[in-house]
Amino acid sequence: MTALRVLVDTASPVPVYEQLRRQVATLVTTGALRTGDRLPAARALAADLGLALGTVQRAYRELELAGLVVSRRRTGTVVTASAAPVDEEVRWAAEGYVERALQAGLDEEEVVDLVRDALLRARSRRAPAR
Amino acid sequence: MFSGLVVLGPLLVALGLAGGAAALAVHRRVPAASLPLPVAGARRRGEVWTGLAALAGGGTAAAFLAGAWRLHEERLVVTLPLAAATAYALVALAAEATWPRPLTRVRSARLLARSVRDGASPGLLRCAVAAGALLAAVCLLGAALGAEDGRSVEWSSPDGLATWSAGTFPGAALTAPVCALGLLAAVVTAAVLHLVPVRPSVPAADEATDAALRRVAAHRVLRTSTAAATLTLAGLLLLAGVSATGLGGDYQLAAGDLRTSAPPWGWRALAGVALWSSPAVALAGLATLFWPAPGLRRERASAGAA
Repeated sequence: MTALRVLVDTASPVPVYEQLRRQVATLVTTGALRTGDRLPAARALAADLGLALGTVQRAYRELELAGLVVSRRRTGTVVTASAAPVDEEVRWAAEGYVERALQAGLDEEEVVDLVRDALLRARSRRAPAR
Repeated sequence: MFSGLVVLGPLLVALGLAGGAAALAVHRRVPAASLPLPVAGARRRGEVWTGLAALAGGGTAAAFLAGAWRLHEERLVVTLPLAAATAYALVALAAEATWPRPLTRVRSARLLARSVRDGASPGLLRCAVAAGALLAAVCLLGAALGAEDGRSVEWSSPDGLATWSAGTFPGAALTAPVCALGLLAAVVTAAVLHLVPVRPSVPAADEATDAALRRVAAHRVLRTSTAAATLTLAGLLLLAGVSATGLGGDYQLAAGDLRTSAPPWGWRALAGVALWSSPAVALAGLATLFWPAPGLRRERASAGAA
């Protein structure tokens, strides 16, 4: 199995620890990371990403506070996700959308922006009229 | 004639093994052109640092040999392999600690948990533990059986009228520095093995290629330390065997009676085992020193380039 990847942009206004936290949380929520999966040691991930150890430790701490992972001295950081698994059809739809958007020449930011836009529209449609 | 064989034999075996290992390495080597640029760079970096580590090890060995020659100090000869391995491991430690970290704006990493066991091969790890345990046991046994001077072994006849002494025996004077250096070599080697899995991954290298580069680094330092422990063990066994088999014999009383005294059967058997096993242990040590590292394979390289 190919290992999952995380990506950080050091110039982004979003703090790096938050970028990390979001990505790992997404991987857990979508079921890409399952209960019992081990995350790399904070030191190894910090070295791979060229970050300070404290940055990765903070991301792991936040994930632990959210109940997504647990850190133990012997086993390291392990996923304890209890998030509900995403429906397969929804996942396929998301993958299909991403594939099509990328083929249409959109970059990653634009792909995510379109999803945000769709979410806003859906929210306004569902909101009760005042 | 015998002493010439003792010196030349291992030297010839070492040269043969080194030649074989070099030929195998050249045959297996993936050309740099078929590797992604960062992977080729990482491999080159590893090779340069290995060369520096070998120089440090060789230099330390030469300094110890020159010191032993000048000072007639056998402790320098006995500790030579472990001192050289410690120097090698210290340079390897510097190489791992200074592995370049990514500096680009956007960086990515695999969410992959790595451990010491992923790097070092299980067979070599078992050999290292066995060599260390055997060396410690021989040191303890030598210190317990050796004479008070810590460099010889004695046998007295049951009537206490005759005493035979033989050396050089690995008593406390010889085994104490061996234990100290062995411990130091083990600590530095363990530090390198713990650094290898947490060093930054090579950009553009796939999972298998990155793992192969780590395995090479772990293998090189572990095989050097294991070989040093094994060669030291062979040296101690040879010294113990030669000195312990020469004990006992005939002695004459004032009245003219001729008596014979010799150590018990178990002692002589132990001395014989030590003496005759030492060449095999030395051969195992030399074979470990040239145990080829599981480097990049051609299919892995092409996958990494893809």
